[in-house]
Amino acid sequence: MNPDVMVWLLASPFAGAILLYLARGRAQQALAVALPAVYLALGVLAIAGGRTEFPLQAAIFSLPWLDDAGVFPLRLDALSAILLLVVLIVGLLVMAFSIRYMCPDNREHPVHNGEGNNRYYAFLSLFIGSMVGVALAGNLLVLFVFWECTTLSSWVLISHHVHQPLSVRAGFKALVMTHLGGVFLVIALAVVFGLTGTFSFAAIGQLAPTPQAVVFLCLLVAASAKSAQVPLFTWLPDAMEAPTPVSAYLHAAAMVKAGVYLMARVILETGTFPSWTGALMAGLALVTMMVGLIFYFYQDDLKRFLAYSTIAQLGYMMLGLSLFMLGSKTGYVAGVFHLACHSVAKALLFLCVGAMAMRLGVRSISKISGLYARMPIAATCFFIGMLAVTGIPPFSCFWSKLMLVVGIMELKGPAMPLISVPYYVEVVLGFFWFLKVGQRLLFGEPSAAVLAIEPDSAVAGTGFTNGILIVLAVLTVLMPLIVYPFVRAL
Amino acid sequence: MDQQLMLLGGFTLLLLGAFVTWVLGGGGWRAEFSRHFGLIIVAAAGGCFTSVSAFVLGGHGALGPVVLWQPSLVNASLSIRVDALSAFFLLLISGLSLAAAWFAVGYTRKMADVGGFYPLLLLFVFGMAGVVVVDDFFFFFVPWEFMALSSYLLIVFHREKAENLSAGFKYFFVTHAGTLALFFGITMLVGGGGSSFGFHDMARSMPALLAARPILAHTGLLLILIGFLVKAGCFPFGMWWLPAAHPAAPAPVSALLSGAMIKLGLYGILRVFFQIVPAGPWSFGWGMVVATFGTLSLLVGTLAALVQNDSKRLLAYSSIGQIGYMLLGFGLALGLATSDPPLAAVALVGGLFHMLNHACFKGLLFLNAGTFELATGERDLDRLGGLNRIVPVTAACAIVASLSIAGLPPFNGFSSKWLIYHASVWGSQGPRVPFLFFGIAALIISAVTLAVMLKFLGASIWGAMSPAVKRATPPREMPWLGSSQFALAALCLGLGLFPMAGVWLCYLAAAPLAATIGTPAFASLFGAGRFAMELQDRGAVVGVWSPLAVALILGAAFAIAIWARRSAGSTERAAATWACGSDVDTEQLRFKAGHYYTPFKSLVRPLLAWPGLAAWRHASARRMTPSAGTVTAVLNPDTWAYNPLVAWMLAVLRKLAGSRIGLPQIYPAWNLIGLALSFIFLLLLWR
Repeated sequence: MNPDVMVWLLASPFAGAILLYLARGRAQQALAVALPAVYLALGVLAIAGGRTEFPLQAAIFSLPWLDDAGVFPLRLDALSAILLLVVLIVGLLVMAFSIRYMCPDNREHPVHNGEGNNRYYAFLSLFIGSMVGVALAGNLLVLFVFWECTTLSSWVLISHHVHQPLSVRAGFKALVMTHLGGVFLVIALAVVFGLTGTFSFAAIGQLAPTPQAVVFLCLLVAASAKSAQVPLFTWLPDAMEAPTPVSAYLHAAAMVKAGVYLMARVILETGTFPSWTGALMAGLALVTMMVGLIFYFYQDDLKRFLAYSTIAQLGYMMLGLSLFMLGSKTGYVAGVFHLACHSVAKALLFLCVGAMAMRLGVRSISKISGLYARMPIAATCFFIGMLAVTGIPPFSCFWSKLMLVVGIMELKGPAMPLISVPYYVEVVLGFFWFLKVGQRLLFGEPSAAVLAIEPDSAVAGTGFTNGILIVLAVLTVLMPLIVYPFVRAL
Repeated sequence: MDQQLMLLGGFTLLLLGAFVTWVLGGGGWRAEFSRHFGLIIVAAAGGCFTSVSAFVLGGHGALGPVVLWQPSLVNASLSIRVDALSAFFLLLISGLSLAAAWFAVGYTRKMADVGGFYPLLLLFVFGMAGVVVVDDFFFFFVPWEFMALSSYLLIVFHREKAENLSAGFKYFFVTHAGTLALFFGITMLVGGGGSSFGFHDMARSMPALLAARPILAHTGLLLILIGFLVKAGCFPFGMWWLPAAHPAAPAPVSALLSGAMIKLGLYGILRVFFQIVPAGPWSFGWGMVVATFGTLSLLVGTLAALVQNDSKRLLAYSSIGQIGYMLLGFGLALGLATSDPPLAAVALVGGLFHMLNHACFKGLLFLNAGTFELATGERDLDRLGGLNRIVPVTAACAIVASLSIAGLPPFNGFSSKWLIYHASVWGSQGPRVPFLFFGIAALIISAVTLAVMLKFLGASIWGAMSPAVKRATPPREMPWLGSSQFALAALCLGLGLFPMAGVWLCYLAAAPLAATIGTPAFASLFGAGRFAMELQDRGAVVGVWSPLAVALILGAAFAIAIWARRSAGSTERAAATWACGSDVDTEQLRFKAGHYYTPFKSLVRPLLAWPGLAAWRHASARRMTPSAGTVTAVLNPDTWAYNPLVAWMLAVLRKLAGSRIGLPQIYPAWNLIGLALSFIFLLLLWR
């Protein structure tokens, strides 16, 4: 297997961004589907080709005076493969969904004459490239560079509707808060480089206890900001001003997972952090889960509701990772597994909301009910997404949540009851609200807003969006199987 | 090997049937096809399962384990195994689902969405059968939740009614919460000291865990018990979902829910408390807990059934009561496991036998209620009456079922309850004296059950015809509807007259639970008779029940009574009710369901009216999402940290910007001062 495929994989979304920026109209739409398919093909090629010889190594760039190795390394192993698969699969579906979403008859955000589309597609592609970079990063420096690229793309994409003050403000807020995390990442980088003269992940493991603790805390702040954990979660609900496919991709499936990935990577490479770091991380994750849960009940906007659910689910992942330090490898694996399982489920939910909102013009839970009467496929897919996120078999998060429970129960001492009780509460009450909302949306009495729209068959292009939703719904079943070999190899 | 294929073939058939009926959809000939095809599939799959059950119960020992998949991430394997207990449950599920599907052919004739109904029904049967054959507690949850999901969708099948949606919500939410408790319990046991999730591995590691970490082990067991009790519909957990869910579902599904699904909660209890947990000092304690739950359930459930006016709701509460009997039997068996294993075996067989009987008569009663609904469009017992003139076969079956559930000899309910009473009385020495009171409570409640069923019969099939019944016509599909009910009624009577057949089956089913009850020989428990049951205690016969003899005596007495009545030569005449000469609407003179047991109702009414409950319900029903308030303000750092911080920073910056006001010559001064400071800083750094 030629490791240069990784370089091609990384370069292609950046080159694709330029193409998408220059193209117009039909050609742009065709490219918006074709290019992500190419990225996915390259990704599959790299992963499948490298599976027997993990980790694959390559270099994109070399600065002899900087690093001990003098290169900017790329590396592909099981953990990278999981993130890559998530980013590339969901990326393709979201880009494809966008070509129907960014159109004049979208009642949520009408787009006339393709205005702003070139910027939109270019930055989506750039974002894919940045996430690929995060996944393939072979050391902290490379990771940091692409990390900031995701922040930048996120800022542009959230503020896509530049004439709406709210969306500009939301983009700015997201930029400031996630960049604050980036600052802490720089501090961690500086400490590691200053003390060891290298940026490699493994160097963190060689630090003395105190600097190691400082590095860990800095990384935790950076990851918390990116993955919307307490107390830096408030940018995510506001970021729902973004076009819905962007919310589906950046703020549910991919970008917010970068923080989780950073922690997963560092924990995996470092081997051992002291157990207090695990307790701290688990505590923060539990608080995040609870705060997210409480906010569920106050949301009337479907997207904000889903955003808080994302916050809580990211808490699950962080909780899973923290179990590594508390003595349970199963919990760590479950956290990474949940990353993949949650991505497809939450992307499905967001795209369903997008499909509904572009027809209905509203996203309010109180105004949408009985959608089965007009949009049966979107409503059913939303219900499936809800089952998948809350963990009903055979859908994705069932498996990861089950594994997480197994991980929690492997703990010794007071940690087990202290974690399992709030976990139980969160899962049960989360299910309560999701079921309430999902049932109302699917089975309830059709509301006036729903009855006012045309049925599926009368709207052009619905078959296309419904097709994407169905593919995602099928993926909620298949995703655990797709990533299983890599999760097992962790 | 061929039996394994049979088993997997049964599951494949159900999936295939679900897929075909889903693809076909409803409407026209396709609906017609689906209705019969669904029956054929259920019958064929049931045949496969029955063949496997017969193989296992026929003395060939357990089938499997067949390991289908073994993931390396967790210590679990997707393996299936059919032992005698599983075989018993498979038999029960296949039999009842066949009756329900048979009934459904008639029931779904006018149904709008046949294409939506059959896939769910078949998947529901698939889930139930899956639960009892999985041999591993990790993968146990897949069919378990599959069953919950499909039955939820069946409960909200008639989604045009808001109350059905609320019933489905309650069902799914409450049972999912229970399932999670169950999973936490299971993982606690495995994580605390087990080697894997397999039943046998768990059983092997259990003694060491109970000795080394008793608090953890018993907490886990409590969670498991609660999880299964929620599904079984035991008081108090069942009260939260069962009375709402059973009426909401279409009648064949109600029959399956009550006749088969809730029993799978008991299946879990049997697996864990009788097989995985060995008998020991803790057995008595757990037996007391289970028996107490059972007694409470039979008391509250049956008494609550007494005041219901909705036919299916009444039956649903009665199910909570009947589950109590089974739990009482199992609790007694656990409690007696260490002191008197043979008596424990009698109690266990009694509980299992009651389960079998309950599947027959409660399934039948729900089918009866469904027929009434089909004929009149009513479930409200107040609006029924005199239905025996419209659907005589159903009425006769309803009488058989009612007498069976009330435990009247020689019907089947009597035999199983008798075993439970026997164990409670004979096992109540010393510290086990509460068992006596449990037995007495169960005995009294048996009479209450009769009162409940007399209300059910009196308000629906007997008495004057209500306006709704007068308008009613017999359903056109009566052959399908009637034959399925007739078969179940025949089973009730057959098991009643020949209890030894049922007891033998249940004795075989209990064989894998030897960890608790040992391996007593059948004849040393129930005697060697074929028709009469002779209960033994250390070789001495302590009780005899010969239903054939009793039936003969009762029949003879009945014949004499009829003969006496005939020979008296008195004439009967039918006349309208006399209303003191005033002109009253006959409807007002009818004795309706609401008129039964009014003193009792006024007695319990204060207990049911909890202050504040209605107000809370009203408030929670009014609004979907509460508006943001203090809670969100406190939890959102935006409001008290970030926004004030940003505002403060902006204010400071504005102040700094204020320095630009004034003479333009001052700006260069600022620059110079800044430059000077930088130099000083650099110089300091240099040194």
